[in-house]
Amino acid sequence: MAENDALPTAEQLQDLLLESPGFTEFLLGLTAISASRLSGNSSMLCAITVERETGPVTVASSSEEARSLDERQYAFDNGPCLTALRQQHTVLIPDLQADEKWDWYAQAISDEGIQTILAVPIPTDNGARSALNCYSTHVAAFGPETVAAVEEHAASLSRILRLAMRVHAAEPYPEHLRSALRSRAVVDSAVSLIMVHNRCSRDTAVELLQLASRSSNRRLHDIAQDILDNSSDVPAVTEDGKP
Amino acid sequence: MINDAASEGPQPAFGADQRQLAAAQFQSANVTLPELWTYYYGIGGNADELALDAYLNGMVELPPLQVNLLHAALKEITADGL
Repeated sequence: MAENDALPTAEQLQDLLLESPGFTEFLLGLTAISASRLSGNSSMLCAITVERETGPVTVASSSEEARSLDERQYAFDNGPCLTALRQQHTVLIPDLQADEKWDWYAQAISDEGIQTILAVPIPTDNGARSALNCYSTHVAAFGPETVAAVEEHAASLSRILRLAMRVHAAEPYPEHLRSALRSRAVVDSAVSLIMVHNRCSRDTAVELLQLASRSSNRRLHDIAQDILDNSSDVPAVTEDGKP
Repeated sequence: MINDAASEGPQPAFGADQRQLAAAQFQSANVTLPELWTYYYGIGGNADELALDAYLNGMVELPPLQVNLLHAALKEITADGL
């Protein structure tokens, strides 16, 4: 174990939360703290995975390698840290090459030179699940003492992680969906106006709008916005009722 | 400008050609089907995502208005991204 083996203080963790602009940055800081605290003589890669009910999975890692190790488990939708996360118990693989249960994973990550994997759940609430994953390039790098230390460390992160999830709530709707909903509201209002103006059906009104957009070579949404802003005329049907 | 609605715009081809054009545009547009559908919905489209998929793959026909809106969506998406 490292010299610096005191648990991070609540104050340190709170500072990290206050200083992080987003949830990803916060997790990144947390993995850096974990890696520097837990790394002993041999270097250890750390990653934290958070799976939320309403948002995408977030992975933060103390290094690029650790990130890729975590993300590859998502490609298979299985792996030691996903098992720790979903079943909420510690998974220790002392010798990856010799482990029959995980030999498919060993093959998948054979290029990384990883020998030992330890995945420990971090207790969270509200349908979110999280795990701290440690990787080492040495066989049997994590003895019972290290496992206990990592478990203790993971437990100490629980409170700040739950706080962070409250502070940085998951984005329920991605930006392009929100912009489509905003656009649709504008288009629907303009369509209603055209319908009243022409006493026509919705389809005819949409067609008028679409024809106006095509003939002026402007975006349909922009035409609709102009109509609502009263900066352009409401499209009208022709005498015979055709758009 | 708006009152010119009935005047000549570049009219898309009809039927199967129109579908092939849409499918080809979708292929080269580098957008996913959910992104295309979301955009199409945003400009007033009413067909669901499955129907768009089926249409682009030649499985079903869409009403002409929905086809036009799909073309408009593809054109606007390819014009300058989402």
